[in-house]
Amino acid sequence: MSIRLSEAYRIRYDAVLKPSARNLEALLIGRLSGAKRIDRIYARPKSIESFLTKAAKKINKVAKYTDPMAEIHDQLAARVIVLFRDDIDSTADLVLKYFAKAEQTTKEPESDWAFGYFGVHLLLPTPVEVIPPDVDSNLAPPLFELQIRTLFQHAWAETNHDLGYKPDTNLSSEEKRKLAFTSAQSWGADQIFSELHKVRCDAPP
Amino acid sequence: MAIEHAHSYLVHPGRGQDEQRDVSGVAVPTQSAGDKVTRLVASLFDTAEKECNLDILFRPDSRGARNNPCQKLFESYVKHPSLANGKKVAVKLRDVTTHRSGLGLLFLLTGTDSYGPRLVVARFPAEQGVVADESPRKLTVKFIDRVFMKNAHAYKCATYVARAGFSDGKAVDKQINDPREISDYWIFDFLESDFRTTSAAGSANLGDAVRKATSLTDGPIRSELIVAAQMMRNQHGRVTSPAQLASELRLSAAAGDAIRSSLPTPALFTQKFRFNQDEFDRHAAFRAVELNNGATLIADNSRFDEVFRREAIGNGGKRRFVTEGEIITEKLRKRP
Repeated sequence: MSIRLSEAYRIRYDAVLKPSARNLEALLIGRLSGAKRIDRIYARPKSIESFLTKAAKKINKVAKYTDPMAEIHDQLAARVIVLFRDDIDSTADLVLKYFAKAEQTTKEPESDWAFGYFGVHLLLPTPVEVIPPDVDSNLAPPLFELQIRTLFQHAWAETNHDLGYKPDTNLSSEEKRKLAFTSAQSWGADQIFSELHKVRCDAPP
Repeated sequence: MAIEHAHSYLVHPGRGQDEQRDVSGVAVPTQSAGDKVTRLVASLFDTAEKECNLDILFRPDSRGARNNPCQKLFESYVKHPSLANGKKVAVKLRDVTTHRSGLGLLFLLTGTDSYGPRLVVARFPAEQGVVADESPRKLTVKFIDRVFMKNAHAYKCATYVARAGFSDGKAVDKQINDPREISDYWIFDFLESDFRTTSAAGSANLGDAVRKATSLTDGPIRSELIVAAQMMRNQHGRVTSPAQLASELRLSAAAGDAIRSSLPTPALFTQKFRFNQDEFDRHAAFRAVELNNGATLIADNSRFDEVFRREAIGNGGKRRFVTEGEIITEKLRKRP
């Protein structure tokens, strides 16, 4: 790992990302204050260790990132956790009222027969107002990542992450089935809560 | 800052045309210090960052992916700044250029500044002019219809820090507030970009700042800000900035400073966005009630009903408003 990259990110982390994450969280809470059924909003800077691990990633023995400081977009990231699956779209719409969109991806398993991570990821321009005024805005990452998930999607993703599972590790067949099973249960819970919510909301008072 | 490569292309209108004119281009020397064109492109390159006052962002495709044709052409040109790669950019400009925008001269410039590689894309519109040649014996005048000038009313430019991802775009378009479709031509059609600051975000920031500034000031400055808030509402749909509004509304230096210091960061004072009246109202939150007897009542929306007691008179629409307080200022003001 390049010492220069490590040092450059450490400087960005301390001077820009840490204070910007706090400001971004406050900004998002304010902007989304009119939204219904948001469980929580939080933002974080990507840890130095996590950034350096990602920056060292290779695909077919070739470095995935040629300019990690510019190409890794979750150096500054935020999450919005909502109650029901339908809330993801309405929350994304509200977010996009206040932030221009650089990219929007719906993350889901490639096959309809598979279960795994679900969520909506947005790449948005870093608002100048979250960057500390004494910092040159050109030193901040130009984009940040915003993930929108339901509570169940979030529970699965966080637990899965905590198990130390990484996409490039070899899992046994049974382990894969277990992970897929828990994802399917989360998916099912979301589905049923969404249906119940719809029925309850559509019901006459 | 050092300019390294420069190309120029003559771009005819091509939008809606059955037959497209070919685009011709030429490499412009960047190292001939005595050459006036060299000096012109060097000056364009050096001043682009300062002149481009609109932050822009490439639009994703309809599926949300970062797959923007203009961004790809720029990336390709910066990687290999050749006449052929630049021509692809010029052809893209030709294909969105209508007769209303007319003939233009496109400049593509690359070089390096303190933030790394930089790309500058500038368009000079064709003008008509008269050349006057004065000799000791006589004056001759000659009409020319292909003069390309950095026109104060139609000049367009964009500049990017050409690092991976091409996210740091800035543009200037002197026709952005034109009511005709040419306001979309440069940023939306050619650059396939949107403003980095959305209409709602910019209007919310300004509304919050005006409300905060009003609560932190008193006397004539406060009155000035309240009136300014009402006048800003007429800006709906215009691309503007707090600084531009303060200037256009001829706010006093103190009122302008109050708005600037009430923004989350001073950088937002000059940040441009398309003004949205509804969003501004939601945040500035002054309520103004106008009566048919000529009176106008203005107060902070959250305190309006507390400040003005409202009574119904009879069964019709007549209302009496009652308020009490000490007079802080009272003066004649011209109608807006």
